[in-house]
Amino acid sequence: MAIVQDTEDLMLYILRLTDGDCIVALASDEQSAGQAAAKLYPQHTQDIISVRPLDSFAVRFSPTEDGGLEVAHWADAALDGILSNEYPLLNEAYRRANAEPFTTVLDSDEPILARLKTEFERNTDIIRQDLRRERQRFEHHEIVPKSKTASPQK
Amino acid sequence: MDVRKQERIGMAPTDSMGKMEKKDGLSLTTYGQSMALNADEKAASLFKLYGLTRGEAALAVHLLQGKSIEHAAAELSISRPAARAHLKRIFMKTDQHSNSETVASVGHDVIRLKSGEQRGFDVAVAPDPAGRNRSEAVRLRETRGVAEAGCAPGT
Repeated sequence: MAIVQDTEDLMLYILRLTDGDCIVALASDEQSAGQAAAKLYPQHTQDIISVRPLDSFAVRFSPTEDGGLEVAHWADAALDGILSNEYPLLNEAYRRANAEPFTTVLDSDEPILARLKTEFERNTDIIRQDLRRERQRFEHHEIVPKSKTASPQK
Repeated sequence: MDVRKQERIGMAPTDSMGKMEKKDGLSLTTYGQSMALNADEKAASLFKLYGLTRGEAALAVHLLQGKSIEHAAAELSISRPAARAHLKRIFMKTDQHSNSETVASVGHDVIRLKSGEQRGFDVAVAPDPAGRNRSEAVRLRETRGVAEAGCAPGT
């Protein structure tokens, strides 16, 4: 006999994995979310670091030239929530990079678009450095949590 | 602006609103002496050469003025992630358009506009290695670039 689940009881959960990835799954509770995640990464189910329900989630994705689906845009609230909870080091890197003034080049003889690109690369390097730290944050984590074990920031 | 110069660099006189004009395949925003556009507007309009939207061009100009992404995003009433996404699109578009020489040429002309005071669009400055004057070189490259990319004036 099939079990019919009331969709009103379902929520979106986000699961942070040790390798830096996250999985978003619709589930009735954290345990079910973990089971749903296991179907995506069966070999990595023991690497779930944290699970929490999402307050907000909306993304826009587009088909790519090779037929894949690529997220083109995040709803601001969803992205902010995920960065602050699942990726606090990356979130801090974004904060610092976004606050970094670009070098004024309009009065220079340099080609400005090329310079703008260089400046953006320099700015993005701030993020890349902390992205590496964020990915490695749970690299040696050995606990097999069933529920929320990380301490996400609100 | 001297009409002969306009003809030489392939531009048509603009109306007072500075709309995009087309002449012999060239799509370019031009500025007459009578136009009262400020430097930012001029720079933003030139970015349209690369098929940028008004928002992307405005963001580029803000950053080139030495603002942070956070500051520029706040002034443009967009989110910071959106600002970063705008920047990525700008470089995708400009990379598609061109060889860096074109970017450098037009970039240099933006600078000239920024430093000029209500003057016409003057890109006739230096000879390029092929012996043409620079304005002609820019015109040829931009004509080809705009036509191939099928760029319409940004919104």
